[in-house]
Amino acid sequence: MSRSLSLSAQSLLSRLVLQASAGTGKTYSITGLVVRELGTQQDLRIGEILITSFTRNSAADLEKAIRERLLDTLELLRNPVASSTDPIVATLRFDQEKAIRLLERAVQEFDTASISTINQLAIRVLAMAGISAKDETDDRAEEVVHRAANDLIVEFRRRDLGVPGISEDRLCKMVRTFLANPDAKLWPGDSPTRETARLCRQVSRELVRTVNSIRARNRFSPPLSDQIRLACEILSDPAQPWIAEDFRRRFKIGFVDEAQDTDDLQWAMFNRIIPDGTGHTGRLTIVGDPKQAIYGFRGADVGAYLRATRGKSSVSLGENFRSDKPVVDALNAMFEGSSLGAGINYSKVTAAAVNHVTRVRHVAPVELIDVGRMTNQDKLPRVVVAMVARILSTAEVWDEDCASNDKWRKVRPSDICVLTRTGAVGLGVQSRLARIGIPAVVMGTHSVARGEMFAHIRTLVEALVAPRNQSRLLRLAGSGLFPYSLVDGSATDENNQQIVQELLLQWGTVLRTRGVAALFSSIIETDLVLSTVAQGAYGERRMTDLEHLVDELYSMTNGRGVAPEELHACLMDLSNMDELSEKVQLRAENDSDAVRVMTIHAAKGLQFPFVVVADLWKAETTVRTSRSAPAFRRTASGKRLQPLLVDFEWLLQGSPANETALAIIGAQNDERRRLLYVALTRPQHHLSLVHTSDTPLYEDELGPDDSRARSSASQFKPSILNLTLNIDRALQKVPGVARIAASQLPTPAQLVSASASAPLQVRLDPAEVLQNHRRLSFTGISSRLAGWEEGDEREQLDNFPETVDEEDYSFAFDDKQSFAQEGLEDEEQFPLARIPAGAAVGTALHSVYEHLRLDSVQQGDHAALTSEVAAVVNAFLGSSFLAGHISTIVEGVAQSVRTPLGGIFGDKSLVSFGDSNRLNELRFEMLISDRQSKNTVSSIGRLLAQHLEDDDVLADYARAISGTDFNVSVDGLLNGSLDALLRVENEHGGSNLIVVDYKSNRLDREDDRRFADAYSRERMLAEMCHHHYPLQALIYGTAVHRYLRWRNPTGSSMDRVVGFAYLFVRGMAPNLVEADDWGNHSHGVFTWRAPEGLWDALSTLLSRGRT
Amino acid sequence: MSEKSRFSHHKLGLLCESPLDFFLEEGLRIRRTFYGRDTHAGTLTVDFADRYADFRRLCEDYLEFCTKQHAHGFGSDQPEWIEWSNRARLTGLLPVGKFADTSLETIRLVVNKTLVDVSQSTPVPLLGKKFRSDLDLSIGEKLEMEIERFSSPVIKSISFDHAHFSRNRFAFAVQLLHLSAIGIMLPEVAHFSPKAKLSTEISRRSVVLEAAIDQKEALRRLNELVRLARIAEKTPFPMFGLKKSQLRQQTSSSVLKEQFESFIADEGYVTTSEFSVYGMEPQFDSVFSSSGSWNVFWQEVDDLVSISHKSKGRYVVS
Repeated sequence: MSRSLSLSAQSLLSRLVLQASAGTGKTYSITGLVVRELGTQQDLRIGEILITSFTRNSAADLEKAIRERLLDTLELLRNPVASSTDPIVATLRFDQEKAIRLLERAVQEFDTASISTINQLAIRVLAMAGISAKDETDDRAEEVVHRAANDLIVEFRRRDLGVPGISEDRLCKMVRTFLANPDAKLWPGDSPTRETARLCRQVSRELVRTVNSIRARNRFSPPLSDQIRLACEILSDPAQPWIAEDFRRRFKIGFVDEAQDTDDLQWAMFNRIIPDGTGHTGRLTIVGDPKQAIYGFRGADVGAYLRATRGKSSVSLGENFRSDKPVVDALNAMFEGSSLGAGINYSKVTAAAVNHVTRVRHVAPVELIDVGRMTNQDKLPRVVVAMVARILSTAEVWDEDCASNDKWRKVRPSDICVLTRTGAVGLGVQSRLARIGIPAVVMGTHSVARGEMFAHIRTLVEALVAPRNQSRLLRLAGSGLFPYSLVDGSATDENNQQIVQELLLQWGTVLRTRGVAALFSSIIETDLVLSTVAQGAYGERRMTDLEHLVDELYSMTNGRGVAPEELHACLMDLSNMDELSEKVQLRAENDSDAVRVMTIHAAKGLQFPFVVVADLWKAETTVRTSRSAPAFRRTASGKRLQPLLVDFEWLLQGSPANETALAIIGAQNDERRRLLYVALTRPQHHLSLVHTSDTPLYEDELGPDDSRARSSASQFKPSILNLTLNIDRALQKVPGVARIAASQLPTPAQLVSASASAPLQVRLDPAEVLQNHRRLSFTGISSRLAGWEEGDEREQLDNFPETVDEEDYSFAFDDKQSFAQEGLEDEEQFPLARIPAGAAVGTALHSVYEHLRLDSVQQGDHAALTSEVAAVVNAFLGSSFLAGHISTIVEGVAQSVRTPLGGIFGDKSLVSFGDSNRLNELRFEMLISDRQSKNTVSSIGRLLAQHLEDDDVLADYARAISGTDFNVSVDGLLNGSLDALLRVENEHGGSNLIVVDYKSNRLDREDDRRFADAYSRERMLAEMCHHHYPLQALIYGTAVHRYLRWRNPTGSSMDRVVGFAYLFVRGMAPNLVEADDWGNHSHGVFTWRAPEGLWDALSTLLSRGRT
Repeated sequence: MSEKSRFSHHKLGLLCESPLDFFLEEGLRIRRTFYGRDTHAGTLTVDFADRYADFRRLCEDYLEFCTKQHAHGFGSDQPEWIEWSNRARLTGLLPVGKFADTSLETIRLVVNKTLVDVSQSTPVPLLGKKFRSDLDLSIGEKLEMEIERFSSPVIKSISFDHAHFSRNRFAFAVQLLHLSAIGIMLPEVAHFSPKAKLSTEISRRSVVLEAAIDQKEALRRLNELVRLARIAEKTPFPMFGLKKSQLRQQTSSSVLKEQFESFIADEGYVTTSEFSVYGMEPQFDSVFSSSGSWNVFWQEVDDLVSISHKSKGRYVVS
């Protein structure tokens, strides 16, 4: 039995277990403990606290909650409020001055905090070992699995192993299972025949060999599924002890949130980063609730949590702050004495004193709706809709913020959440609610790739692939992107088709030259499309899905211009993704006053005033093997982990052995019971639970041959259904519970028409629902800026004359007449000046600069340099559309690489940096505040203007973007990629780092007489400002600055970001260094030195949100 | 005089099966094909699991080979089989290396079994001739028909696509009507195809005309069908998951509406022709307006070609 947590007094012991049942204030407790430690310990910096959670969303929410708590605590310390009951504030008041100082420091350094998913932590470990990995599903990883399975089949056949009939699909699942579980073992049953045992051994050997070879191949770019294993390996590698030591030194305190959703590999990693036992100072707090372990299908293993917490000191949160007392009482009655899995027993919770009330009237706090015998699942949505309509038309809720005297008001749609287990039921409910005029939004119910918007985008992309194809064009015109109809003939009207075709051609160019974000920006800026997409009951859904798809497609295409065929391939990859993947799971719409319909997984961590639980009574009767092979672990008597036994019989026959099936069905049903627990703990004031008092459905459904499922069902008492029956019986003893037969519910139409005369209400504030952080890129920001510039107020930026951006005219060679005339006097000095232009050229040149290996090239050895450049250019461009320009490109690139860069670089050229002082293609994600705050381009402009001298080259630009006209939001999770980071040693023994971007823009104009003029400092400045490259560089520089701070939270390092350089490679000429008002500079090179303190100030501006 | 427009029995079959697809394909020339990606880069083909079209193509080729030689198939050691299989290996359609052996054996078994079943079930010469007939209809249209293996008294249809029959049974019915209209009274179209994907078991299903349909009646029905086809080219007649028998009635009962709603609420709705034409938010009362002619259309179509399933794979056109 564990003690109750005292927030003010509990010491953070090593491996303290914090058991947090649903609704008991877990987040409040974690944030409180973090703030308490930060506010009392002089030696503890926020960068020395490690916090992990299960999903990106939960990590992001925790990050937000900690920052809010820090700011709120600071506020209460500075301006005490008598009514405050916050125990942390009370504790910190003992030394208020010190606490304020320490908490202010934590706010300033907030971006050094390590609050992430466990995978993101693993990626940091890998980065320390020089391994690049991404926190996202990698399509190549799936290809590798398919190839491996294919190779295995070929190998089995070649060696005539005698295992005919093994399907490629099953082998793929087998390979995935072995990749994800290092302790997996192929199991032929306990008493296999000699022949089966022999086969199993042989197949096992090949499988292990294959898996090892995949791991070896992936070692330097591991996919998501292998990152934690590899991180563990690196943390234990005696050849690189400094990596584990660095992490141990860095993290003094750790919190593992959602610890019930971990697995053994993750614990192995935690144990290496913050070891337990004597001699180690790091303290790890384990926060979890095994009753809420519902992510087994994603590889989480509640058994790992139980093993990790066995015998550890434990405290619990036993008071429920979420639900009213009648709901808590009912919950206790329902689950008392129940097991939610081996070693997971329910303990009673008490309702907080403030909740010893009933905050609903005209409906009971808890209602059981008996649907009777349900043979057709279609009936269920109707029952649920009737319940929702009944609550809306009859119930009232007590609301402290309500304007009326008695504080009672009618229930609003946004007060209600319908929880479903399957997406199909959720969609049925939403559709029916929408059709009787009750707004409803869905979340997490299914993949965005199964939705309407995906179908429209697919139609669009298919038309983009063949824009002259009449069939595809007509299909697009009749799609939901346009207001034309195939029924009334407006889609076939020639004029309308011409409009669609013209747009299609424009969009094709935008996609090829500027990429996905710009394409969708163009689409949405088309009034015709926007008004069509946003209208109707599903308008919000469409817009949300569109934003979601753009996010994912943008990320898949790395923000560059792509051909429609490539975009189509990306769409296919999205549609093939597991629909439970976080990447494709439907996001909540932004509609404020609507009933939420969501899966229980999506609702985890949320609460709602009214909850209707729709479809949870059915037990599992089959083994689910959608992605992996059937496997199980035997229960160990001691602490030692038993290996994962993977069913060999299933590989051969397609159906698992009896023991495997029983173990898996049992585990699935345990998880189903925990799913029910999670669902029933979401309501604050009212719970409606659909159930059936009829005989167990699954037993009815079983045929005479289903003895295995029948046997498994009887082995795992109480089954889901029995639990519901127990609930039914238990509730007879609890006051405030009503029982309703579904047949007695009035029809929704009757209820809705009865309440149709309700008074008109003002739109309400959005309900609290988890949202993904908005993802954005510089391309997204700049396209919004471009949209603004099309308005009337572009005067200031018009001072910067427009040239042609590389990204604006891909393949549009017929625009040549706007460029310089042939035969300029310095033509020979600029070989790259006249090669073709466009995004594809830019991408190709980037690849060349990225892959140049310059360490072996001695400065001045032009022949060696040309040879290296020629090798890379031929490798990357030899068979491309630039093949006819190879020799010119080799000459031009070689020349650019040896051009003295001038400015902050002095006489150094790219070749003099070699490879060891140049990092290529650095990808990053940086959180810029959040949706609640208002960071804008203009706020960055004002801050920049404050830091610059009047004669700074960017001073005019800073002033130009400081005005309110540039109130374009930059908040969200920013993705970016730096072309290169160059390092120069500074006088303090540290490094000066310079952010570098390669540009292939053409800056020459028709009236130019010399290319040297075209790539002069003035012309480059105009180009920089016109495309907002300084803004991009400032954001990227801040990302590097934050990274340096994360690496060294104490600020003792001498590494600094000193500025940025944009290399307009067409204009780089080694023999043309000139002096002007800004000092020495080379043509084609724009360098800029940042003033002291700018990066700190920018980082603070972009991280605070509010202070 | 301008040339008459032409219809094939496949198109009229589509009209009876799904007038909305007919509207999309014939009225608007919209192909409903999705352009997917189903193979994985860098993998060798080891079976026909993802290449059903290649399997069907090779089966057709082997069938043609056998029928030209008047044989009911060949044994694996016969020179003819070796000749054909060597040729097949060069097509690039077979799985690689040794895996081709298993696949070839599947092809051999499926085609041999089909040929044996065909000859047993219809004791007529194995090879029919290609039969072509154009029928000028009184409403000024022309109906084209081409039958691959025509041999009186039974039309033998062979397909190595297990789903072929369900998609083409109305086309078979129109074939029989056409033959009847030109005075060739055949008792049935017999269709042979694998029972399931890549199965070596062959199923035989047949379509027969009801006895009451004589030459005159057949001609009348074809004229009427073509008239309806002209309407269905311009007007969509959706089903939204409803049965033809339900669509015949002019009613908007709550049951119909409920089925309509279920159809739209289903996750698969966005892949249907109804979604392509009506979008995400069709309204029952507007799609099936009580004043509309949809129920008349469905009555007429259903009266002209209605197929009922009798026992043992026998389907009767009434």
